[in-house]
Amino acid sequence: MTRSLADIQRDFAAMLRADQSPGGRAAIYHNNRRANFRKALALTYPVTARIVGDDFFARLSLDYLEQHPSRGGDLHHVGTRFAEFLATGFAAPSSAFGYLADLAKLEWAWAEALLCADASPLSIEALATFEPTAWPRLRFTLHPSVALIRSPWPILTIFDEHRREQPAVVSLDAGGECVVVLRRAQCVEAHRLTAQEHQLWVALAAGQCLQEALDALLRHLEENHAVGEFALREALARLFMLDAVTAVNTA
Amino acid sequence: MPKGWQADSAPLRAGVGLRGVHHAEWDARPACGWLEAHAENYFADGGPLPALLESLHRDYPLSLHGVGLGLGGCEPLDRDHLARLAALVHRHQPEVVSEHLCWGQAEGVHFNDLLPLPFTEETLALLCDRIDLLQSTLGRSVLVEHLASYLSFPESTLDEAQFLSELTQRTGCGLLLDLNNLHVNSVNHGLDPQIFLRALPAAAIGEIHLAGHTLVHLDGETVLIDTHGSAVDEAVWALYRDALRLIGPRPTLIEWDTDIPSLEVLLAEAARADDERVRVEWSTPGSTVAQIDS
Repeated sequence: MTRSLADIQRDFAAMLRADQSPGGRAAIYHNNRRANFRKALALTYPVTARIVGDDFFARLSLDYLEQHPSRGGDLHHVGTRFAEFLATGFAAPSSAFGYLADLAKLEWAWAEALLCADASPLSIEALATFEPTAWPRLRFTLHPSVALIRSPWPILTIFDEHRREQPAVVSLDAGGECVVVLRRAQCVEAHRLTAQEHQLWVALAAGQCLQEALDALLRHLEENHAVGEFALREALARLFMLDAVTAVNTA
Repeated sequence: MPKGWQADSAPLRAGVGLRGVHHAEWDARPACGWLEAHAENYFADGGPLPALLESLHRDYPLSLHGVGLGLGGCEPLDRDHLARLAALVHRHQPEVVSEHLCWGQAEGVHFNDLLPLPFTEETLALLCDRIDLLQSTLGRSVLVEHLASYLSFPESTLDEAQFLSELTQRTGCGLLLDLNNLHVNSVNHGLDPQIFLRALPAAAIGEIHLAGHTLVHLDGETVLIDTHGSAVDEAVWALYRDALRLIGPRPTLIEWDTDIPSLEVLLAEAARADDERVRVEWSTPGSTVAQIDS
């Protein structure tokens, strides 16, 4: 009996999706699918792959493929849900690899920042065009590449170390880090933010005006009985220095 | 002008595939006939990748070679993927655009591989519709590449060369002749590559690919895998000389995708392709040196 093209592709797809390798020549396709997926994932998550090692990364990749198979012909997207997958797999705070999900978030932000739209950064002088009375109502448009990550682990230190040839040992007890990933002059960069800066950036990225962002920040400081004050001027200067702002308005 | 190429743009000198690991090495603009980029690698809304492609295209003819559209899939084509390809082609205006005669997804899952098709009237009709859609979306004719394969289908009723010939006649598309694929298939399926070469519509062939393969032993038989991970095999160079004699020179590309060597090694392979072409031209009676058939 002759199969239709749809039948042939359905049978072939079932063979490719089966856990068990079919053996023989069909196994070449069965292997290729898994190898292509793993290579694409490792290109997006080079630091994660390096830290866990080839064998473990291959296992992670197989499990991830099972749960989140590729949905399109552009391999840039295969890693879309890897951080989420790792967060579920290593959720227990006692897990030795608990930081992996946050590291993967950083790597995903890095990969996304490489591909996002272009936008020209604004210099801080742009603020001078607004009356000081208008400042509380200012809203900022951040560069499309800006991604903000807050982790209880030193993820940027881990990331930076493992991009060196000889990574130094990073203590997981070193404390959490807040990170911004963004693209400047066509290069992707990651920078450490203070917890307060991070909160300000998150509020501004969400479209809050400066007054709303500051109110939330001060409320948060009070609730946490934190002492000291927030250096707004410095935080704004840094925002512009990192080329993170592409538009300011009072709308 | 070879099929598929924009007016007077076809390079006689061989080119190489543009790969991420070599991006920095291209800054020095080494001599090379042309570049072929995998279209999907440059699917980006902005940033350094399209900028690099734009800058390289100022100095080299450019081909965009799609690997992810899955023209022969029974499910509807991914319109978003097609739109991204069209936007890329629109932005860069490459000299030539190509895709593969394969399928890649079922039930919403993409296998990210070039999966083989049976050679039947049903496949032919589907591919013709899809190539028509692709060509009308891009507003230009494209080249389509035949696959290297490890399985064949008992359902096939046409031979591959006949199938390809029909496809070009019905859609006006051109062919991308991959001589490594041809060699791999001739070993894997016991076919005679000479018969295949002679049965192809020579005028439709707009480009030639050369690449390396890997030999494995599976259940006591020898199987060649199209890995693009080594130098071009001597058997493939021999097929290249045959193709030059039979169909004449065509824009030729060295592909290398796994265990990628330095750019220097890649360019040396391209230089060998140039040597092979010149030698065939000088040794073929009555050949018109450096002419490209239209």
